[in-house]
Amino acid sequence: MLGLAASPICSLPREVWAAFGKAVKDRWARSHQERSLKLLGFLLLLAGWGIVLAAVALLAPSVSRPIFVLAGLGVEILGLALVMRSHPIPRGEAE
Amino acid sequence: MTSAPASAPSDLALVLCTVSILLVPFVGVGLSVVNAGLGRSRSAAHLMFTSLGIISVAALAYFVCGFAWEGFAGRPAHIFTLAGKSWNWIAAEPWFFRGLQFDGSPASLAAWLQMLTVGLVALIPLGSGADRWRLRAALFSTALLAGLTYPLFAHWVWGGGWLAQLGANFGLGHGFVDVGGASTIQVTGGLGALTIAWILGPRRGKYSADGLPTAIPGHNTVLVLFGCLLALLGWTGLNSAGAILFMGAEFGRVALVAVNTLLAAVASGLAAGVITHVRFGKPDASLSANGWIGGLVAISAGCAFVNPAEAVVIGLIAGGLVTFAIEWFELKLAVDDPGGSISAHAVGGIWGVLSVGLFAHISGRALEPLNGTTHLLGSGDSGQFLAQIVGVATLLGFVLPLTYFLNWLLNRIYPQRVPVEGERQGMDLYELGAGAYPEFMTHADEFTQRKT
Repeated sequence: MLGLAASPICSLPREVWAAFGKAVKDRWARSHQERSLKLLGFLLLLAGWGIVLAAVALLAPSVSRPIFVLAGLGVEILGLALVMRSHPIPRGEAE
Repeated sequence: MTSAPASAPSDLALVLCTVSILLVPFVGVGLSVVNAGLGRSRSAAHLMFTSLGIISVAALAYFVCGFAWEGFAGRPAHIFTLAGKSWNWIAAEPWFFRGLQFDGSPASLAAWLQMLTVGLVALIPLGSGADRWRLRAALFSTALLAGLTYPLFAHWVWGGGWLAQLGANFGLGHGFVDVGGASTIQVTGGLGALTIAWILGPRRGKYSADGLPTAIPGHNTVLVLFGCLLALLGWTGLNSAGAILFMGAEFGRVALVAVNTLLAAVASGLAAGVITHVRFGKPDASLSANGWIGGLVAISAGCAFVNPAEAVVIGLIAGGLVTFAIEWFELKLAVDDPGGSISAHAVGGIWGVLSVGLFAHISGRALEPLNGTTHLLGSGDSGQFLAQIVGVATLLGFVLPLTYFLNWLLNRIYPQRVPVEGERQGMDLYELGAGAYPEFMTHADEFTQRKT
């Protein structure tokens, strides 16, 4: 035996352990959400560029081409906004 | 496959181009000094030393493989056909400058110029990573930027690539136009700065417990303003050399390039000064300096194609944009960018690229169609703005994800942020073992919040 059962950590009340578990779970969920947002944002950036390229390559120089190019740029801006939102404001990082 | 035959510029233009390239290192000096001045005193030596390292690694990476992938218009390139049109996507030069004759030809001058400019691209992220970016991480990141990201995009714009040929192939004006590197150098570097700021996170103490940013002023405003003047000198050379090499400007056009460069810088710097004076009661020197740099960045794209009055307008708008963008990034997006690199270079550069579509007069025989690119051979100016938008979309949709992915990968292998102890000690002591100002007494940092 390593004396684990007698250590002060193991003698903490059940509520403390529950709070710790909840914090870890919340943190994981938040970081998972941030990762998903970031991934989605970068995918939208690439997709927007794809729309722009497709519009240039496939559409005739008429009204539809500028519309699709602008739509592609709009998708990119949406993606950029998502990537920016995936980087939250850090709080309480005192030196 | 060769993209298109190159025509030779006049001897006079080549001499002027050589003199202009000699001035380009002053941009690097200026940016380094600005970055150092806007950082903390305890990281000043580290910033300057890292700048030197970045310029060295960038030049070597470009020598090894950068030029092989960027090339020069009229030289070998990989071209594929899609939807009945040819897409020139990457150069096919041998590595280590093999096959390049250093005989004063435009290609050799372009290689020399770009060995310098690639260092500028890599210096820009250093401004946003100041006080917390490890030396070796900065050098590794530079190698990726200078060896892969920059050459690829620069080939598309300056190497006769598909963006330059948007006019000939798809009837979009004269193709994507960027005379002095507002997109290739500035926006690419600015997006790199954004990536680094995201990956590193803010400096410790930058944001308080309630998420509000704390002011961490630069340690030497004199350095910052001196850097602005140096940058003006170098930028004049950079824009002139770009106009001759990539746009085929004749000798006489360089005066216009120089005048426009100066006018945009002063207009932008003054605009930033006036805006901060109106908002805060006194002009802010560091924001005005960022405005000055933003004006230089913005005019780079169209310096050979706009008249002086338009250059002033471009500068004024750049000064306003940069000033508000800095605040926006810091307050709303929690992006800690000590050097203002993202706002000055990325935001200013994107505005500069778009301003070509709004203001440029490219039609007529003002510039010779050098290098086989199609700036004078397109169907007119109606699609020019669209061509510029396609360029911006490529920067956001390709350059930004690629830069982020490469830096994210690097961060997984070699963490880029210095440990907490390094930030507390300062980068000078932690990474170099000696401070920039050893004769000065070390004070506790008076401007950051401390844990009580």
